[in-house]
Amino acid sequence: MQVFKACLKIIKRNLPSMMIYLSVFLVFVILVTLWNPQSETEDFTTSRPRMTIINDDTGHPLSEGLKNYLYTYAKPVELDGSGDQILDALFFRQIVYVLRIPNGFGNALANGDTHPKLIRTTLPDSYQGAYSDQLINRYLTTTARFLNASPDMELSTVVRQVNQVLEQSADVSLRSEATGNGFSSMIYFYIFLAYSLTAVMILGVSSLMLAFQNKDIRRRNFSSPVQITQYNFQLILGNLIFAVVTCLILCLVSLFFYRRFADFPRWLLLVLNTFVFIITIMGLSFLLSQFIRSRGMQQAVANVVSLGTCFISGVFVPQELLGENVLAVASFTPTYWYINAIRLIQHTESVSRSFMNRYAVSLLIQLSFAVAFLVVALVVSKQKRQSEKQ
Amino acid sequence: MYRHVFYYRLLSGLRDRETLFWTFLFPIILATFFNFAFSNLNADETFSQVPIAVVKNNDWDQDTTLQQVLQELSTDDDSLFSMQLVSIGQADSILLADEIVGYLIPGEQLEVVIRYSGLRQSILKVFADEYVQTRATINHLIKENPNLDIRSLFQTTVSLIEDQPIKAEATDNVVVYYYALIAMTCLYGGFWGLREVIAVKANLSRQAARINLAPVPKMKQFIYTMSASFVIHFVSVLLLLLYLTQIIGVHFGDQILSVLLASLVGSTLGISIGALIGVLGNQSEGVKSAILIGFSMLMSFFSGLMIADMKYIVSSQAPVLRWINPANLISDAFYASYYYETSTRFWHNVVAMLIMQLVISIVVVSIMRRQRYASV
Repeated sequence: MQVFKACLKIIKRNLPSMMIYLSVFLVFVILVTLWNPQSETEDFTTSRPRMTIINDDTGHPLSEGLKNYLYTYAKPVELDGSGDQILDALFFRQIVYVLRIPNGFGNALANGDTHPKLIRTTLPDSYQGAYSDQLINRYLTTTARFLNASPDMELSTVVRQVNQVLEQSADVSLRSEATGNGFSSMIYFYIFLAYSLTAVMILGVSSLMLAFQNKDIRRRNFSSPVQITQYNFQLILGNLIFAVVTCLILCLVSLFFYRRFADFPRWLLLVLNTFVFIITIMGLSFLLSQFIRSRGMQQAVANVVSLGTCFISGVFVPQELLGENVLAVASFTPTYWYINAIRLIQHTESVSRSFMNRYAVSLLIQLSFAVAFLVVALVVSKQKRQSEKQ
Repeated sequence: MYRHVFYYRLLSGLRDRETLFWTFLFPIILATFFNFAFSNLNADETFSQVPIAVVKNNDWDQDTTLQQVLQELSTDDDSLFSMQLVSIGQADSILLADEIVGYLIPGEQLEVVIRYSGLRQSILKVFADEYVQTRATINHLIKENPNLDIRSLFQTTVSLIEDQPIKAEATDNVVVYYYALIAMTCLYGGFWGLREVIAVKANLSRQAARINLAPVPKMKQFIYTMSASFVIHFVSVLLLLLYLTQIIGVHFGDQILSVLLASLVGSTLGISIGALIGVLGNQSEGVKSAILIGFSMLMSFFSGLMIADMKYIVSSQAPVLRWINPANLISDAFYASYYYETSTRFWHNVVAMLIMQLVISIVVVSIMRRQRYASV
């Protein structure tokens, strides 16, 4: 097992740079999940436009009434009125609607005047803008009708009665297959894992292989009495150990950080999926390292391949936001099927038969990728060996 | 003399495949990935018709008001809804096939049935609410005022909203990613700056040791080689710009000169930062490159390369960081000339970059010019 032992030695030497990659990933993903634990399937009522209201007509019951009404149906975002701040917030969709209630608006509404008007700024052609307009018009129209019907009513009474009427609502029923199974930080962790695992595996495996690719060392190894099949077998075993240990460390870390995700069977499904994925990526790295000649090239390949597969497979941007063509291309990468399995786990309510079938298909496709990569890699390495002999 | 040094430094740069990869190819590859990933990002934001269905039951047949209102709202392609009348069984099946976003069941209590929650569903719900509330208004007013002429009262609709538009067609926030990418490319220019410093610092490379023996002042030599690097790097930024505008179709607003100026200043700033990392300390080339990559990535992250909102979070939570982050200054200059109508913000960024450039140059020069080596 000399080759295998040499593998372990090389891995040990490359450990520091691998650890940097992994720890940067861990810090990043933990920060992001702690910071931004937003829910993917939102509660129906939370689809509220983020709105800033600047009320220059404070004290008038109708204007205050409008503001309070809007703030119960929209998500209030307090910003001071300076130009840049509002423009920036609109651009980054922190708010979608800015409403300025001008001084004297309440009086005008009470008297049926059409001036001054409300001033709004919103993103052009947006749903949320149209929705906000609708909310405002509804309030104003209802108020105007009340005022027309009984002109002598106290304004505060009008506001109260308008609010009473506007509290009425239609019943909503949700016909959804999967409900109440929202986002969990654990899922996020495993989705992002695809990126760092790909990068780390390509770097790790290619560092290992670079050492063995050296011409003199290769020649020396091939003239030794160790059989080629034995030699390749030990190399793959060395890579495999590296893969499994990395996988184990990361999975245990996820268990430690996201203990709240108490669903143990589903964690096991995630781990199994990760395990299959890492084997596949190991095959890919093994294949790529047949072509990698230098340290500089190693970095370039690791970055381009890991970013590329992750971008098109829905690691950085959720799959439903990607175009159909992109996804069609992505389905030719193992990463796509890895993410697919995670999403199945995320959205299933119970471990049913149909779920297990679809989950198993995702794993099998990944495994067939692994086999394909390994076969091609072995063929390439054989050809290289033969061309050297001549 | 100048031409000689310049020419050979240019040639040597053009043969440095690794640096060329990171400054020319890598940004373009990344831009292509961005294009794959972000092309649909804001697709659900723009307004389009909401397909709905209504269950045809007894209540529907009797409720002429609801019929009238819905018909008005679904007359043609520009109206809010496109509506179909169906039986309850049909309604469920087309809902599950995602042909409609939801359907209404008319009755004493109007019911909305949807499959997911989202904005288009909210619009249907808002309509249903409005209908229920209008019905409640009528009931309420008639109870108090039995002689009221409801028909004339409901002629009154109020529209008291005046639009104060933001600069049209300039609200696509996906551009933040691409602007941050340009900023990253500018900072990657640091590889060139670093390369030139290594080429003249005698304790960092053998070539520099030889150059130090030559009777040409080191400062002069350094400026000559830097100008060669600048040419290569500026061309790479221009190529990226060309790729972004012509092939991917990223918008930069109509201020072409501003865009070019920002690229020029950003590119020189990036190179100088690399030079600064080169002159500070005596670490090996590998360590210095690692510092440079780490620095560029961190700064680009804070200017929105990975998460666009990060740029907003930084400028609203820690405005100081906004001004000292070179990547943010570069991307913000692009952002300002794209989104802002006035050019004040653009110039603030450019001036900040120039000041930063000046400070860095002073530091680099003052360290370099006094360096003597006991034995080279």
